[in-house]
Amino acid sequence: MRLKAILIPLLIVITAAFLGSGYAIHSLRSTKQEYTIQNACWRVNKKMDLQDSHQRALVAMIGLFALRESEVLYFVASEDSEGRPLDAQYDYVLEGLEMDARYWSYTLYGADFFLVKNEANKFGFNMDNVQYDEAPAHEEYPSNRKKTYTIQISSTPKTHNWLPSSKEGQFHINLRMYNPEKSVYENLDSISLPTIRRIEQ
Amino acid sequence: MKRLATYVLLGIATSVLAYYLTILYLPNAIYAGLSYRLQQSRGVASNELIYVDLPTDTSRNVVMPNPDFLYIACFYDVSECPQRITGTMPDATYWSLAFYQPNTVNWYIKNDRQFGTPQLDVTISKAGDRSMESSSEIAYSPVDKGFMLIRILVTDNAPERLAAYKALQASVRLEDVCE
Repeated sequence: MRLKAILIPLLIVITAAFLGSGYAIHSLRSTKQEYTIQNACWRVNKKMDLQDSHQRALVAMIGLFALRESEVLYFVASEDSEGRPLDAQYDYVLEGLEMDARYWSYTLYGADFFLVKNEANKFGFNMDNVQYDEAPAHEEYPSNRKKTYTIQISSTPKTHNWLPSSKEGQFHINLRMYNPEKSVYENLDSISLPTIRRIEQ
Repeated sequence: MKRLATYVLLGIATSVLAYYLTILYLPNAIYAGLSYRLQQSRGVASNELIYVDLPTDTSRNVVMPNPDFLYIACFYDVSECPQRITGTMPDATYWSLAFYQPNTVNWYIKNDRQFGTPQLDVTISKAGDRSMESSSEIAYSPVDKGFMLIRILVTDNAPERLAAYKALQASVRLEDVCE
């Protein structure tokens, strides 16, 4: 009887602690936070000082040792432009423009936010190694016109700007902008960001 | 009935407490886990620099590594002595020095343009130790123990270029500056 009087509260405390912690982690991942801005299929944190405990916990889980927004903007896409989760069983085409930043790059991460194993040992593209689309015949890109590019996301090899995904599972694309222009900060919700289009099989 | 109500209240109170403690201390727990893993698997000591190669799929210590960066990491400890970081960095491409608290808050970030020189020379000291004199820039740490991360951008990883970047990475040193 005495053992029961100890065991039952103990079990309740352990179970409740697991439930409380589990719900905290689930809610961090699933709840849209007030410091997040959505621009098409991309999410970005407008503030990264991590003074908010929820944001600090979330960033520790999915972006440990991230830098402040004054240095880098991290745009994350977990869905395609139609709002469907990015799923490695499909191929995707990412189409974008040059970014107004000192350095920018795209990196593909698996559902666990680590780089994905692939035969090409290729994990992303940046402003220097992406192949830009060719200018129309007999034309050159005017200096004020941004160059465009197309990145093919697929688990099977492609000839042009192939960004390998794993064979299955959800994945994320991270667009980093280091030292972006002022205009980017001022228009986080409206700057032109790439589209991610699913190729129907 | 009274006992059942007590159990229900106990369950609710515990889960609410667990929720808030998780939110509050998850970053510290993740940081402590990383520190423990590196100390166990690689025998990394405090104030020892870790020279990290370009990340690949086998890089599993920190989420979302940038495959374009060489990193230099260190769990710094300035409780006994300030620590001086020196080295030669790239002169035309991005690099930066950042410090973090154990709750993962980034308390210092400075990049190549802000330094204005490829010669890295920064001393980390305790926040209260304002009497220190140094020829290098002093970064006053709000905590005795924290994390340092140097990022060196490598946009061209052709073997000869990568070797040059790695030579710069290897030039970084950390030393005690006890008086």
